[in-house]
Amino acid sequence: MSERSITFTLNGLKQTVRVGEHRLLIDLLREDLGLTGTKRGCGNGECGACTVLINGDPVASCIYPAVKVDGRVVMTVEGLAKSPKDLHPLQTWFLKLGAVQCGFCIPGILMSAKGFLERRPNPTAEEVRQALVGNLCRCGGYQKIIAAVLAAAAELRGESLGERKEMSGGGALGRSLPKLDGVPKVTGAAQFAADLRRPGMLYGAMVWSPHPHAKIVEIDSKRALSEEGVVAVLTAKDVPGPNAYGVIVKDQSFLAAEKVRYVGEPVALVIGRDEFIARLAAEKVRVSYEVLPPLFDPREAMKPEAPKIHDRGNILIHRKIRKGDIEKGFRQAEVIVERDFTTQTVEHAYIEPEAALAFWEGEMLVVHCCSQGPHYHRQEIARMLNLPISKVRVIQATTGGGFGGKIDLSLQHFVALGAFVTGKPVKMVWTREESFRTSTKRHAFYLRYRVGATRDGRLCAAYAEIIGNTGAYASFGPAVITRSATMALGPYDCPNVHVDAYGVYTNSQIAGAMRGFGAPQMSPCHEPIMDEIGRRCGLSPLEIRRINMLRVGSSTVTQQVLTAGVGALETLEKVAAEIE
Amino acid sequence: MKKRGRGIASIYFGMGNTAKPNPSSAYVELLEDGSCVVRCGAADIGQGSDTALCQIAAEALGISAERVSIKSADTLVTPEAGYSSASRQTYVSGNAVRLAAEQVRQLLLREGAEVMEAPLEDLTIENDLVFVKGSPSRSIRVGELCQRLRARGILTSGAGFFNPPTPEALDPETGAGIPYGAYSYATQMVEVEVDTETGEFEVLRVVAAHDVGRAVNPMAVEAQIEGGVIMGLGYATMEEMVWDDKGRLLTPNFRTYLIPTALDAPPVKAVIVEEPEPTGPFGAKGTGEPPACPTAAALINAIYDAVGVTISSLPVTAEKVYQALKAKSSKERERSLC
Repeated sequence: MSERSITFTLNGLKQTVRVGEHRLLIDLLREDLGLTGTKRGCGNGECGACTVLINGDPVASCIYPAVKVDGRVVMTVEGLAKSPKDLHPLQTWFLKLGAVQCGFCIPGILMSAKGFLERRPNPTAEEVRQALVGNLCRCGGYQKIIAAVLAAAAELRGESLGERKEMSGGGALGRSLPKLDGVPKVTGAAQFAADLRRPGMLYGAMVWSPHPHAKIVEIDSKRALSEEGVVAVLTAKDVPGPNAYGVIVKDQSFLAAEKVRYVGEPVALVIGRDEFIARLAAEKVRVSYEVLPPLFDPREAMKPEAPKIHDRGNILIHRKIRKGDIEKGFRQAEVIVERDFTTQTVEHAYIEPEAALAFWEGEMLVVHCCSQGPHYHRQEIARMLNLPISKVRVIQATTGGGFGGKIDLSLQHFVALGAFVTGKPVKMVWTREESFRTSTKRHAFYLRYRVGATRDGRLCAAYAEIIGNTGAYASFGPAVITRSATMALGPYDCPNVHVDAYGVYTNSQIAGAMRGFGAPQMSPCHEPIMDEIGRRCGLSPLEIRRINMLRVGSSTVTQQVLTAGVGALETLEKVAAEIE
Repeated sequence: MKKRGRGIASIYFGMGNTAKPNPSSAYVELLEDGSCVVRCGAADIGQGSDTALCQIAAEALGISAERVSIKSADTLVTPEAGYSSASRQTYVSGNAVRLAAEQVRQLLLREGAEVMEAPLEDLTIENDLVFVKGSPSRSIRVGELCQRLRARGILTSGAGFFNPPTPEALDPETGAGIPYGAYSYATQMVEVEVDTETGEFEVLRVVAAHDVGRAVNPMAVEAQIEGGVIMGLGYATMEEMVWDDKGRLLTPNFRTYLIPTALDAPPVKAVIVEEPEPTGPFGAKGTGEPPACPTAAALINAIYDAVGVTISSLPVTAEKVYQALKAKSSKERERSLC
């Protein structure tokens, strides 16, 4: 590959560097020059996390050839503040107005906003929205970001601004303090796992299953191992401890041993000198499979005659709720509403793809990674490697959103295994595609409801059949299904309830924890039912809820009597005040 | 023709893991200048637990939040605090931090009572000062008390441990039991405009009222609500993972798997309701997940309110609304013929 010498101005300083013709600007900045404030969220120019300014214009550096900056002026997030104590107004207002959450999208948004305000110093909110359309944020919902850009614009124009009003004065509680970890997130200094490096670091790449359901016949690593720079190809045989993990049920293999159960299941791990070598060699690992018929529909998979995905059968959990007398309840009912509802599978889509780095520190194996639960990760890694738990240290790097998707192991165990076997630091970063293909998902559900009420609108019977597609492995499935059952009826008091909630294995991607954990799937079924019961009883949506809502003394579907802290009606009245 | 409608939806949400112990622990160390370090295993993934836990420690100690630092989520340094999930860190780890800080508070109050020769129960701590309630002129700085304690060989540190109260296993046959120590509640309203010809719709605004017990940091609570609502709208209207019949993912990137952009995000009015939770730290409960729970339901009800059709699967797309409108008008035509 041919190299060229280019000269450009970077954050105010003239630089001359040698760079390959095909090198991307993001890699020049992050890998060659160590400016890791610029983030890679997708690698396709679709998320905006990698935005930098070239001659003042926002550009996606992940699809921009580095050689093209020759003779130009480049600004990254590191160039925005004069010093961490002397922030740019955009940075100040992003912190003051709470626009920063995980912080992964923030450098790109700051650069887009900076470029935009240079051209348009006095924008409307709508113009800011338009200008930021290429920058995805998953934590915050944009409103505070837009407010912060407008506030910064006003300050840059020399206008004075009011401060945010506090809810309650006095102590430390109830104060809208800016994030304590906020400054590094707006200067680009925050170290996410993909930003970490160690001298002599190796790189890991995965071999994935292309089949949803198959037996592994043979794994042939010879060709991959013969590639220059390849250090090891690891398979199930190289796992020192028990090859099984899982947050609730240990039904998942660190590396698939006999069978694969979804497309994207990890089969082998290639360790190479750099990312390019490791990924190329991963494609040369030959895995032969005996393909088995797949099952994708949980309603099919739960039938007794369905082929078994796991030896113990396909029904992972059946959670029952039986309260009162359901038949009596329906006999009392003067209005009955039925509703079938289905929900889709969705992805957490945190903007930071999974990343981790493992290395030895004396006798201690350190895994520095994105995480929603470092102590859980430590326990699984120690078990996998037959190490005392005290000899594994998991450090959470600044984590770019999780929403439930960064509790299960993703690649923490792979870098740990790589470092354990090679003795060298091993790093892995997933591409957006790998993240989407292999991380857990929100459960898709099939719901069948039947709810009865008396003429005055009072609920007297509720029946629900809930079937959740938990995918190839359990992950948080049993807990999600149980929570869906406990949340099945919503915040209402009903004396007679019958719920059957099933979590069923299929050959779909694994469904696990995601923000709401079974509750967002139930409400689109129970809430339209409440409205419909209201209509048939001549009651408004507000009235039907006022009658049935949980309050102190109410009994939930699990027969828990609520004793205090029940603000359900208050939330309804607050919304009512906005409508009426 | 374009028609507007409004829909509401309510939910409740249990804090912490369902019917299972899920304890947290924390260490709090007050230093000789009156500043404080918190160590807690809770992972801040952007939701703001680091800041909230510092505010809780500060409140319990009577010092300003700016004087508190935190080290979180490092297994060699911080004690276990479970996962950052189940909307549990403010509620569970917040209590662990509060209990650790209260141990230190007691040390300060006892020492203060001795120094000021005042009854222990008359003392309080606010704004970094220990003083006799009602006569703030008699006061001593927290840092000074800390130095006095240290000079006597007493370190001002505490260890807190909290497990949500009474979660008990659910009966396998009836589900009866106490799955959660506390619940948070929410009602949201979605206002929508629907094109009756095409089924296309636009969400005009969302009002989201959430009972959070006590807002530890109102701005962070709003940010959680606003972000959760937009995630809920993505779920309601555009997001869907699609596979082919061989299980291959057809939506592996942001070009094919769409999430809301700044242009897809309507104004969200977050309304904070504070119904104190007796078992929460200073009345607080979690806010992480509930905002994403009712939005799709409120949208479906809003569309019914606008055009009289109920959509029966997610995501709610213009095509599904169009098909439902078509089915409704042909049913009405049939009815008028007979």
